[in-house]
Amino acid sequence: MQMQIEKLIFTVAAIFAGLWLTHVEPKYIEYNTTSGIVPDKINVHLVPHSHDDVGWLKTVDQYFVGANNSIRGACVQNVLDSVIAALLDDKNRKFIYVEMAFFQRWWRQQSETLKAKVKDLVNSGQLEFINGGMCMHDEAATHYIDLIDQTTLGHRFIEHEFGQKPRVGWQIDPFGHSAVQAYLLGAELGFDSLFFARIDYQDRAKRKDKKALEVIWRGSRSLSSSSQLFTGIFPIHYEPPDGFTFEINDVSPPIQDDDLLFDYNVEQRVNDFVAAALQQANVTRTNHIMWTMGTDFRYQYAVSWFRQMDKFIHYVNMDGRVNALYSTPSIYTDAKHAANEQWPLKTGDFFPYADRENAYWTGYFTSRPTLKGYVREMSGYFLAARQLEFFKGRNSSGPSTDALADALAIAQHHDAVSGTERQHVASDYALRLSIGYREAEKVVASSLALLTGLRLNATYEDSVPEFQQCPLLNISYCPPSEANLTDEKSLIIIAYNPLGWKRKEIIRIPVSTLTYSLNRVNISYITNRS
Amino acid sequence: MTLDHVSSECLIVLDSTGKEIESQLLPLSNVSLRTRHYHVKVNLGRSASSLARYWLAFSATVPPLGFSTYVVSSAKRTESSSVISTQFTPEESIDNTFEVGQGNLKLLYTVDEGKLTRYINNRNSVAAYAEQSYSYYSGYNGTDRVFQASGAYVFRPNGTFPIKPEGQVPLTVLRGPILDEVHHQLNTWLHQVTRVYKEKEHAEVEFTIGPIPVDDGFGKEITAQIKTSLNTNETFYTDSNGRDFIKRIRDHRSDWDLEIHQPIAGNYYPINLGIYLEDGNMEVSVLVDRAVGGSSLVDGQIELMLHRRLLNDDARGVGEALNEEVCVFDNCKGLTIQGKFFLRIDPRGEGAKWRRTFGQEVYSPLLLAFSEEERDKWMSSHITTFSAIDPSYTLPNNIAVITLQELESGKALLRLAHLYEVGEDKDYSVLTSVELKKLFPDKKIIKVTEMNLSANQERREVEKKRLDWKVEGTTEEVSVVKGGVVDPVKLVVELAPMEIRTFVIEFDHLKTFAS
Ligand SMILES: [Zn+2]
Repeated sequence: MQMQIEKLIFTVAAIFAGLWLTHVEPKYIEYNTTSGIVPDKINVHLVPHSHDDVGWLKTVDQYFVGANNSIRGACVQNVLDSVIAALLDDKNRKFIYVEMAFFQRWWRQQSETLKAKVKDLVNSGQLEFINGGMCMHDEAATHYIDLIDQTTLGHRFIEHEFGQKPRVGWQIDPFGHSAVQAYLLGAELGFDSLFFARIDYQDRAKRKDKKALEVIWRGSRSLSSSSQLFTGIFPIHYEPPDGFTFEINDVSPPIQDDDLLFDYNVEQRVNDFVAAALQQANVTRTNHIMWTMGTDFRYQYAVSWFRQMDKFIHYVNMDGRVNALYSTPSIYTDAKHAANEQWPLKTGDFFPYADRENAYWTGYFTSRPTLKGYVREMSGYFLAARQLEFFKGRNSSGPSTDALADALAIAQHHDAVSGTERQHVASDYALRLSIGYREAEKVVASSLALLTGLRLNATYEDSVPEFQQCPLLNISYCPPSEANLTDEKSLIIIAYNPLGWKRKEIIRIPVSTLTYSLNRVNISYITNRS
Repeated sequence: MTLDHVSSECLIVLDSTGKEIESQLLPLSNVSLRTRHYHVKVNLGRSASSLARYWLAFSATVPPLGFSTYVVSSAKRTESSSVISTQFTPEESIDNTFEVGQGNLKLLYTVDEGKLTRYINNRNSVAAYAEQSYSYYSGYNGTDRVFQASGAYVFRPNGTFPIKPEGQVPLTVLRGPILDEVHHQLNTWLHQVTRVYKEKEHAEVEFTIGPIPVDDGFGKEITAQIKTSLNTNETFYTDSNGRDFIKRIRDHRSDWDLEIHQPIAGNYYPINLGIYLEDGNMEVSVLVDRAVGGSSLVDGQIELMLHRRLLNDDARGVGEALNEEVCVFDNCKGLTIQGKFFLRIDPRGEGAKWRRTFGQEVYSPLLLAFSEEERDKWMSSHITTFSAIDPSYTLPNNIAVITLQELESGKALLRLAHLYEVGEDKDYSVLTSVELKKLFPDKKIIKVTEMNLSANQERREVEKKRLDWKVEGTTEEVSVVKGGVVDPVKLVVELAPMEIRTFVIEFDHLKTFAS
């Protein structure tokens, strides 16, 4: 406050004296953002991120292109375009990107020139892929095979395009966290750590008291310490501390460090920063704390954030009470590891999640049961279809299971199979699944045609049969099985078993070909029972 | 009582070898016909083009990673045809009970109320009291985070109400050589079919729920309860993403002393594979066909939440009430769901085998494809049975292939998963081997590279980089068994309990079955 008053007096005096015309030059300030970790200070790791839901209030494509902005002004293209420009502007800036469904959409639209620059950003560590699945999957309503598949799809894309392997799990928004996430979709992926925000409010309060928000999580009783993972729970949520959000419409005070302008506030803002850092350091082991600099669909005008972070790093480090740096969760994890600290042990999982007394997020375990059923049905079908695709051999021009893989991947999102999206978005996931299914159905049919026709007779022309399938069997609708049968026409049923062992199971199909007569007769129940 | 006797010119089912096999016809219930009629329109925008009257049921035996062929023909007079189910409505009996099930499993119901009362397995002498019922929670009608509503995210019940069967004849039984069915019409929007297959030792419950009535101004969340007399000491087990089972204790958290504000919602857990209970003598397991929430709110009881329809947004951002509707043109009504759960009661220590094996069957049902042809012509000109693996081989009962896919490069991505946890089953919780050569009998494997789970790097690289962390207060490190490195000549993969191993396999050339 003292400094502001002095500045004000100076400014007022200067104007009255007319000095500003002759003595004050426009000034370029070169912000020093080169800082790394400083061993004996509190290190505030600023982790710029944007939480981009692969569908929620809008569909995945609407979010990507910025359509339907009357629902929510959100455009992931803006995020990626402006982040890349901001990173190219200053090599000290960093950013993490999480949802490969969006990144892929963006990537395939870029020029080779820009792609080369982005590869440099990835190689230098300025842009880091974190989590790296197609989406940030839900952890309650998902099947582990789907989680593996959707993560594999994203990770192999990153490996193929950039030669990089994500190191960190970033499940910041899912509504509770599963044991399988920690040990299987964490340690077994080769991740070094996992971060998230949502745990029970009572649990969080207790953990803050005991500095137990960061733990070693052993999710599997069977695999125990061999599949353990360093896990960080955010003290509040995945946003920055209050007063440090800088999207263009945000209300946090920006740093005003131009002498010529009113409301110079560098010292005040540095004090705010240090106070927030100390508060977090008080509930955290070691002298490293992480600030998640971003939230839902932020960085649509990335420089708005980076400009402020540049200034904070510059002035906070000049102040010297704490050390601020551009960082990523990987850098943060390495710092935690290097600190050689002991961490509390966590076993089991983080279900159920409540964010206050009467708000247990246990409804979504069941919400949209038909979508949940459809996702599971398609998951099983996909597993079988890929086997059949393998037996047949992929055909680069023909139908494939890839569309179903993509549709299933985004359906694992924490506002997809969870049932917490808007109705039009739920319909979009279902539509994508049905499109993927229809293509996979062709793969299945042609593979079975090949496999059943192996012993084919050269003279038997139509030896490659047409196979039909019945996705509406659950509503007793299956046109091929309901067809009229004659002496010349029998119904041929191929039952494919995707399991590795022989099985015996009852097949039920609707039929309609009977000519029947119904006689009602009375029989005593007891007779019938004997 | 009345029995519908049906005689007809009928169907005959032949297996892959051309042998006649037993089959059963079950008339489509009125509920099924209505569902079919309505949802064909919803899905296709037109009426059904065919006219199903019956379900045809028969038992199929299918080799691993392979198929069997079945042929359905209209029966000639000389042939034995499918058996039409007897259909009856239980009316009276000496002890007010009747029994369904043609094999080891018998379910006993009361005649007057149509209530399940006992579950009996003649093979292993399990005889247990078992009841099954439905109820609903009235959703709390709130407006914000203080007056919290039940919604898409949050479950906040405002009263529990049993759903009692309405009407005089709640129950119809179909009986036949393959399976028995018990049809309950509980009310206009809740119907269930319980199936007992002669060759299976679990009960299959297919529920059809909806449209959930909300004209009283309250959203509702529909649950099914299975009640047994097991003394479960507040303890139950639910799976984590369909994989490991986690012990749950009612009104308890292992990490802190729980303050209880929501004794129902706060005891709900996600279920993807199943939920089970045990006491000193028995285990009760329920498996599900999709993700649901569930709990054990009373000892011996299992509850699943099957459907929800709510009228208020629960103030977590989505900004819509979870009030799903289905429309034919502009005519909309509340969503109806159909799904299944599966119930089995075992002697203690024997439930895991069913949960794991049958769980795989639920996740990976037989994939059916249909064609038509003159039957002898098909049989003589096609492969009628096939297995991709060596005919002398089968995967061990505790191992599943969870991925077999061709990568763009012509290599194969293979994932094998051990299905059991340490100590879960006395026979199957053991280190187990899989012979890769026998999984690919028609191909020559030239290289097997073990990868991390997402197959973006080699596993040994991951193990090299793995960070070591110090854990507070732990001294004794339990030694963990894991499968060893795969010998490039023997090509045998070992899997320890709960282990998943991922491989990229290269073959000498991409030889497909066509070449
Ligand atoms: Zn989100």
